[in-house]
Amino acid sequence: MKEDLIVCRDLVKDYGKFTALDQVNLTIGRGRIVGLLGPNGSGKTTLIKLLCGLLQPSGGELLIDGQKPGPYTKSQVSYLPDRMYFADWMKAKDLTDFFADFYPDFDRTKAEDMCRSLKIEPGHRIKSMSKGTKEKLQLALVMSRKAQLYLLDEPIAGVDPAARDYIMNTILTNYNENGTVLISTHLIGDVERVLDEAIFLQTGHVVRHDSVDAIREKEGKSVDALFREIFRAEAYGGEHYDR
Amino acid sequence: MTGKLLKYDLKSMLRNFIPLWAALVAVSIINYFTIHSLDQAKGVAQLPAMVAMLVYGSLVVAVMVVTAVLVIQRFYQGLLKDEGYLMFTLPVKPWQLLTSKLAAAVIVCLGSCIVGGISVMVIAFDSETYLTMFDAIGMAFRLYPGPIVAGCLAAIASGLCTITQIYVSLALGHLASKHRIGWAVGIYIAIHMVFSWLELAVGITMPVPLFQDATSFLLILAAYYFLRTVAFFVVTERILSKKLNLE
Repeated sequence: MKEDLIVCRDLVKDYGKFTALDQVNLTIGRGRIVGLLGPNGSGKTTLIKLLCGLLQPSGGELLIDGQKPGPYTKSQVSYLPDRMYFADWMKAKDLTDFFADFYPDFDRTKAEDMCRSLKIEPGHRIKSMSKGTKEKLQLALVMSRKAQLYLLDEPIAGVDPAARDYIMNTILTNYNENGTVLISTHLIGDVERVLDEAIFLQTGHVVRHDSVDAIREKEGKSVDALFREIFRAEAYGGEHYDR
Repeated sequence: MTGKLLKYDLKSMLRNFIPLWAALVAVSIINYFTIHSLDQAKGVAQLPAMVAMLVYGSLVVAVMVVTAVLVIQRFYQGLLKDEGYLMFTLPVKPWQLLTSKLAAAVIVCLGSCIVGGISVMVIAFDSETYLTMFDAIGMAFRLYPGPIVAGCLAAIASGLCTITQIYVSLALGHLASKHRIGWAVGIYIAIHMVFSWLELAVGITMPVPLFQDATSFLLILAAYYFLRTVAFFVVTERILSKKLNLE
């Protein structure tokens, strides 16, 4: 087992002429809760898709647990996308069966308990569930794995404050403490209290990667306040934050 | 893992096909009775038989359309749209996802053909005719085993080729940033035209003795479709492995 869980060296991702990630160098250890922070279009989702193997890098190197994305790394990564990825003909039981079939680290009992707390019966069809229930079910399944890396793409975007609390609580009470949780969001205030580290992404560049404590100590302000400072400057055409 | 993938692909397809296949067989049984009652019926009394035949015809068309639509839809929705976020993050390789989709498509296509054949046999049920027919089929197998086996191989290879041509067209269309379905249709037509011209050119120049030996001809045809299938499969797999770009 490698000490660093994620290593990116000069990682580049182009979409045609548009460069979504440019020369990203990043190292993330184990047992951390890391915020991947940046405004829309900063490259957060692209980095997460590269990590879970949905995209291939255009350049550079990306390693998870010492290996390039592939079946092994996918077996170690639990991914929550920013959309529903279940076929709507499935029932809740089909989904737990599906996860149990493909992921040896899936804890069916935990998933079923979480479904019960959400009042989801095994025979309930996905099609008949509300958008909020589907999102919570998806989160419950993702967090029922004892993964090395949880990649959570915008888990609290577009949900009401009560649902945000539920989501954050579910993440914190269920993740594998030896694993790392990478949460992408631009709603810093809601996640700051749980973060160990923050990565600031701006137009495809990592402009800061530091522990939350170090940011507070060096800057004398919260991560949320620093985020607003950096990206307010961007909104008014300011220079890139650089240190 | 491919077996587990196939289990879910078949489940998603068969939930549509089983009711349709059951309806086709049920309506063919009704048709068997209504057609045999036509001898005594006149005027309005013929109406039930007409309606039953109309329903049967509609169901045959429905089975063909649903088979084609679902083969396309399960690949497109299952791999290139939102469900792709789940499927491509499973700890499997893209060729396994593709093999599972192809195997499920072949199974439902064969299922539709078999159920269609059974429904025709039900409507035209006559034990004596069938005994004669099965005897003739048995004799044909004994007398001409080569051409029959080669013909079956060519038919299977042709089916595989058609399905993988759809897959490669959808995968190539997926590389476009806009109008992906439109591109896929255009690419399918273009591939079809290129191979039609190629077949015409080869057909004209092919040595005549090859046409006279049915077994050789059918085996060459099977090999040709099989090679096309492999080429389409490899190109699709490479695109899904290296160029996947889910929206």
